[in-house]
Amino acid sequence: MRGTWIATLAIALVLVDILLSLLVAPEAANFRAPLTQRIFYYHVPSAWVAYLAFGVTALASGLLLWRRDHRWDAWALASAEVGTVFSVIALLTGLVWSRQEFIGYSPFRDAKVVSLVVVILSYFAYLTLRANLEDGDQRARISAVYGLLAFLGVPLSYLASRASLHPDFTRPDESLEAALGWFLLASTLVFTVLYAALMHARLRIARLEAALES
Amino acid sequence: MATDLQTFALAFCVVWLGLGGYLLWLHGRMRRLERIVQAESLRRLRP
Repeated sequence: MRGTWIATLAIALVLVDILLSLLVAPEAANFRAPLTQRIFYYHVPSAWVAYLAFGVTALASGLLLWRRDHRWDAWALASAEVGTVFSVIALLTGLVWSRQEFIGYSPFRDAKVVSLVVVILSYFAYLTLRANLEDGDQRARISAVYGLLAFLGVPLSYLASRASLHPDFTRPDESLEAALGWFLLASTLVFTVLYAALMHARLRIARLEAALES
Repeated sequence: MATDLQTFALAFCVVWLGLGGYLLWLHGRMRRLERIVQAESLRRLRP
């Protein structure tokens, strides 16, 4: 019942968010492609959710190693899977936007792109590693260690904005207009609710799989 | 080079088809597992 409630809320908020970002949010100044700029309302929240999800994986992995409680293994796996989906979306939307915004842009020389690709590959490796370990206890412990190590790439990916063409809104000369900032914040909150709904569904799958195994 | 509208449409589709596809995949996986668990518990109840 709670799952239906959070999924309904997430879908309703997503629909409102799409309408806000397409019809209500003002057109941004200082961008070559003002319509494509609106993809910020999905790109930035996707990146935030990806970082949050990988943080939850690291936290759950740490708790599993500390408390020896295997319930955290399901949380680590669910969050890594959801985070990987959002990080791929953040990467693709960022690539599409930068191709339109910058003339002669090469993503292969951009620190932000390269670091995010490394993060995504490390979480693909995490999922592959888990799928290839048979023993439940061994799989949980090895995955937890890897889940903690993989998170090291996340702050590096975030800080890579400083050595890249990627906009850094924390810098005064690149700060976003206040009106756009509010829409971005609203979209980020909506994506966070969507993350919670996806996590709820993914954890339910983990419980069903555990019930079948036992 | 693609127009501003074409590029936005592409990125928009990437986001919502990607997330929608993942949501449908999760939903299908959950329903299939629920059916298997239900069938398994019915099988155990039979004498």
